Amino acid sequence: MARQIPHTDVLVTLMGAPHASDQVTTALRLTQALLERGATVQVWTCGYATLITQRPLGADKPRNLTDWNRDYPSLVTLAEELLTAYPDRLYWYGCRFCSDDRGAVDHLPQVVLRPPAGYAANVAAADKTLLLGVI
Amino acid sequence: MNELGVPPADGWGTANMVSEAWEGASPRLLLIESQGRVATDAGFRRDAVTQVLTGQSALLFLVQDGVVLAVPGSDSDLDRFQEQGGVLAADSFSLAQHGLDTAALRPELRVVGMDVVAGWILDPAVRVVWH
Repeated sequence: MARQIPHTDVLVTLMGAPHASDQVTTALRLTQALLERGATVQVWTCGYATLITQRPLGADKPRNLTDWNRDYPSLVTLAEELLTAYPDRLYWYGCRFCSDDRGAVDHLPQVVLRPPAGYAANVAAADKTLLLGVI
Repeated sequence: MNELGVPPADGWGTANMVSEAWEGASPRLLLIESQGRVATDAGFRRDAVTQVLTGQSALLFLVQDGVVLAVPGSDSDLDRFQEQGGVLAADSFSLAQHGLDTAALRPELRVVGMDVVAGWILDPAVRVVWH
């Protein structure tokens, strides 16, 4: 039976390599701002963006050699904090094909991997869809 | 010419006046430019000019590397976009990250946080395109 996708105000589709630009940070800032306004949001990651919810990334980024004692949260930590803060209004999906193709097999438990063709149902469940980046 | 293309009697006024005119229009376009000053990426900005020339109410929001276009004279398409009544805004966080938070920026440009952008996106009258 096909999964029912909860309706959301916005679908943020995030594609492309996480560190090629500031795109992921922008997407997370926008997602947080939408949630703080009371909106419901779903995030769909595709391509290399599926890597950002991998648990092996750990809580923090590797140490900064010029600022040894400062903690920098990893991308998976930032995603987890949002999912924990807004469990009823934020949904996170990832493309199973892209994830498997890149060996990303250990995601946060809140992340639902979906087949590429399932994306249409996510779009249909959102009032607005934003496409950020290219694969 | 759309309503934003017609200067008010007292001139273009402040950035806020222009922004309020955009916020009062329905429907309207929110164009988000995340790319910097790269010639091969100029098509999106040219499309923005076309939108205002054809009567659309359009706001172009600069974010990430796109904020370098907030500097006066940085892009002729954005010069034309503003001349034709398009509204220009830039992300305060990205400006600071690029060292432009204290720089002289384009006249009429509105500096906003992501909270404001979220409000625009959630408005049913607003259609959004991200580049």
